[in-house]
Amino acid sequence: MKITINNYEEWMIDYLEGNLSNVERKQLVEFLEFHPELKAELELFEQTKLQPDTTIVFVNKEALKKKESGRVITMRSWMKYSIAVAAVLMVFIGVRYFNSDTAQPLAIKKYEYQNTETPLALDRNTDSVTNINNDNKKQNEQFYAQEKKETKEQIENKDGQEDKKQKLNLQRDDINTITGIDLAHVDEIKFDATGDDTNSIENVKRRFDNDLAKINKKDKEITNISLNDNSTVVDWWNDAVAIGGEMENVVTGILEYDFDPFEKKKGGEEVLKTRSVNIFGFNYYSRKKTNN
Amino acid sequence: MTPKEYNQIVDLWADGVYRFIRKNLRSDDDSHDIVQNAFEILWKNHENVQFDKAKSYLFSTAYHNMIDHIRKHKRMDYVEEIDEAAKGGTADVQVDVKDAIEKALAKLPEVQKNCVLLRDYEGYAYDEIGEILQLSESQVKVYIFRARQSLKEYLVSIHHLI
Repeated sequence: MKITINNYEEWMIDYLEGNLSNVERKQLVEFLEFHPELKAELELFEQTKLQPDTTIVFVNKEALKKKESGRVITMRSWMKYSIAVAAVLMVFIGVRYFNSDTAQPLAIKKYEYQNTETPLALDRNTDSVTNINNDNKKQNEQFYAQEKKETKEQIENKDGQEDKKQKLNLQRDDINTITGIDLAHVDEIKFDATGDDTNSIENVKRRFDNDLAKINKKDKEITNISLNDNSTVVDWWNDAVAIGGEMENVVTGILEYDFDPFEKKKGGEEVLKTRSVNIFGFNYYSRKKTNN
Repeated sequence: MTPKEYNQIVDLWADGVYRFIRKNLRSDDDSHDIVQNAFEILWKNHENVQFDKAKSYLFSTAYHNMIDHIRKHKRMDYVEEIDEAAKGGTADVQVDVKDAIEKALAKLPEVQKNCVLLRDYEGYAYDEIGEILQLSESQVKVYIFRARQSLKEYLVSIHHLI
């Protein structure tokens, strides 16, 4: 198509658009030589070429991006980790809160373990220990009166303090296994030394399951934790220790923790000591063994 | 397209597609939402979209989001711009060519404007523009031709006023 006075605009636009071949560009130039008055028009066409305003940008492009596989973005994994830990902590706090008869508010409590004749005391609720000595005492006595009577009789019936001591000196494995006991509602656990299986792990468990059933029957709000799961308390503890250790430098709410469950007394005797961790004002305890 | 390539697309074209949408809508927020939505759709389909097609896919998705948006909000933003441009063209003549082009651009029919925007801002070929705007290649060429003619006429009229 030949360039004419009627179609030169199309040529100019094609020129501007880069659609012209070298030969055609030459033709356009020659045409403009003959029609210099149209050169201004070509300049105007050139001005119709839009220039992007580079000051207009999409803010926060990072928010559009996705995680690339095989690449761990520290911030994200850390956030995930934090959320997971926070969730676990909330479960701790929630369970503990509900499990506390008086539902005491968040407060850092000084640890006082119950010093009873109990050879093995599992203790994870400081405030509950206090309560047992006060308000809960009556309630618990009511529930455990029968149980206590029996165990006291059993203990009274036994002969020989040495034998008792020997029986009470439980092995670590035994201690570690007797854990399905919620001392928020149980002020003491008695072990007889008569040699029978009254206080075998299974029987202790069973008795406390029964106790729990009584408690639940009496007042369902007292506890919402199943003690049938033998690992419940221990798992809490392990979680608490794990978090305490891993979050040592992160969560200021963890005031103290202790990984070593045993301590050596004078004379080399190794006893299980109470371990505790304070998470956001709640203390979590392992068990304490006291030898009388 | 891998997630890595998707992120490259974000770096390469987020600004461009935003500029393109922003030229059609007056609201920063609406434009932002439309672009964000387009990227979400791209991400959902990233496994099926090839890297070299991703830009077109992105612009096309954003464009259709925008059309939906304009339809939903019946008061089309560009209409307002035309009114404003018309006022400026008669009462308050802008000598600045760039401003004049902006005003003239706002006066163009939407399809012409978008053809020129994609052509000049992003350097798209006619067939690519056709893909995005769902037009034939020859339609795109005609629209661009008409758009440039209109823009030039507008400049001529301003020059005459001056």
